Amino acid sequence: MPDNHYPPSRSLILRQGAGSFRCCFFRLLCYLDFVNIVNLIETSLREEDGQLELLEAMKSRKSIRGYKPVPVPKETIAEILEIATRAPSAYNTQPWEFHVLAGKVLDELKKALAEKFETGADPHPDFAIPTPLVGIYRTRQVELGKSLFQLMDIGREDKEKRNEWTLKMARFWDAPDAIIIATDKEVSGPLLIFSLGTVTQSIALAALRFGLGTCIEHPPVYYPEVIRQITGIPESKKIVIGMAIGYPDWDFPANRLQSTRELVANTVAWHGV
Amino acid sequence: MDLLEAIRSRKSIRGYKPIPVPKETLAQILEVATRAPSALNVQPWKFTVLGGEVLDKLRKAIEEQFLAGVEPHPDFEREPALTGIYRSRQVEIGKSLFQLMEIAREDKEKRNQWMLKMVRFFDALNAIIISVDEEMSGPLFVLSLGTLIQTIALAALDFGLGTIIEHAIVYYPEVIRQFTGIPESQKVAIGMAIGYPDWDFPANKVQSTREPLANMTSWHGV
Repeated sequence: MPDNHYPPSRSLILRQGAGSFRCCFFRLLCYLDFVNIVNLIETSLREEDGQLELLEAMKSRKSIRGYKPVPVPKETIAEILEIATRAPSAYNTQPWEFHVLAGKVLDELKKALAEKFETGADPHPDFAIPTPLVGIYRTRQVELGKSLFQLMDIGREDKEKRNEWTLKMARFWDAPDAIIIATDKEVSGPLLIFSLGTVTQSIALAALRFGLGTCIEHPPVYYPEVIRQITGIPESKKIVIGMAIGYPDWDFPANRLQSTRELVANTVAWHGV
Repeated sequence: MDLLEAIRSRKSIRGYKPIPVPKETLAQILEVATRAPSALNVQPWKFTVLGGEVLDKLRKAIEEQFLAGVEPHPDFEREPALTGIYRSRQVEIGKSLFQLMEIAREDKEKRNQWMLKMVRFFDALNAIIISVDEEMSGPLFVLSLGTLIQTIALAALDFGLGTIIEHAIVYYPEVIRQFTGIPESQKVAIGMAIGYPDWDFPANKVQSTREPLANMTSWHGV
C-alpha cells in the first residue's frame, strides 16, 4: 500500500500494526496535518478492496505541486479518462479532447515552455488570463500565494526563488505525465466551458483512486503555439487547460497545503427551504 | 458510495419524487462541493437554494414567460446551433429520451409538453441556482463553475439524490432575480434541479452514450 497522505482508513492503520517507528510517525504527521479533525471523524473507512469513498475523495482532493519521478502507466490514465468522460456536458456534446504527454515528449515540452517563460514573452492563452482580481477574490489569490511561499520558504523579495517557482509551474510541476485539454473552436461558448470543468474535476477525483494527484494549471498553456508545435494540435482547436498528474511526493512542502474555503453559510441564500 | 461508481452512475434525472430534500442535506452537499478547485482559489460561486412555495411560484413564472413566447435571454448565452459530431450527439440524446417517453417526432403537443417540463425543471421540489459576481465570468471562472457543478452532482448521489444541470432554469434572469433577490451585479449562471429520483419515470432509464476514449485522446511519449 503506497504512502498515502489522503486520510488512511482506520482499519488500514490497525492492520499495518507497529511497522517501523518512522512509518507510524509519518502516519501521525498525516493525521496531524489533516487539520480538520471533525472531517477525520466523519470520514468513512476506505474499503479493503481498494475502493475510495466519494465524499472522502472530494474533501481530500488538493492541488499537487511535487511529484515522484515515477511515470504513470498508460492503462491507468486511460482508465481515469474513460471514467471521467461520464461527466455531464451541455447537450451531451462531450466537447473535450485529451492530449496525454509523458517521457521524452513531455520533457521537450517542459523545456520549451520554461524557455518561453524565461524570455518574458507576453502570455496569450486561448482562454484569457483573468484580469487583475479585486476584493475578496484578490484576497483569496494572495492568501493562496502566501501559503505556498511560506511552505516553500520563498521570501517575497527573493527574485531567484520566485522565478524558479514560476518555471516549475510552467513545467507542470515536473510531473511525469501531463494532460492537455483542448476543444473545438465551434464549441467554446460558456455552456461548453462549464462542461470542460465537469470533466476536469472528474479526472482530478478519479485520479485519487489510483493514488495519483493532479494540479489543474493554466500557465503551461500560456503559449499555445509551443503546445501546438510539440503535440500537433491544430489551430481549429482551442487549448483550454493543462493538468499535471503523477504520484504525489508527500515530502514536498507545498503538498502540505490546506487551502481554505469560504463557509457555505456565507455563500448560500435559502428560499423556501 | 464508491467514487468511481459515483462518477460512472451519475446521470441527469428528469423525474422526481414529491419529497423535499432536507435543508441539512443540501447544506452538507454544498459544504463538500465547495472543496472543488477554482482558478487562483477564487471560489467564484454563490448559491441560491429554493424549495417549497417560492420554488413553485418561480417555476410558474418561468413557465408563463416561456408560454408567452418570450425569447430566452440567459446571462450566459446559449450555444448557437451545433453542427457535425456535436449536433449528432445532441440529436442522439434527444432521440433516446423521446423514445423512452414515447414521444413521436411528429407529435407536436407531446413535444411541447416535454419542453414545458424542462422549463419547469422537471417539477423537482428543490433547485440550486449558481450565480457569480459579473467581473468573475471569464472563461477560467466558468471552468471553475463546471468543477463545482460536477462536485455537487456527485455529492448528491451519496444522499440518494439525483440532479439535472439545466440552463432553462435561468433563461429569464429577471424572473430569477424577482424571486431570489439576486442583484444585477451578479450574473445568473446555471441551475440544477435536485431531488429523490423516481426510478419508474421512463426518462430516468436513459443510458446516454459516450464517445470511445480512443476517438478523443492522443498519446505523446506515453
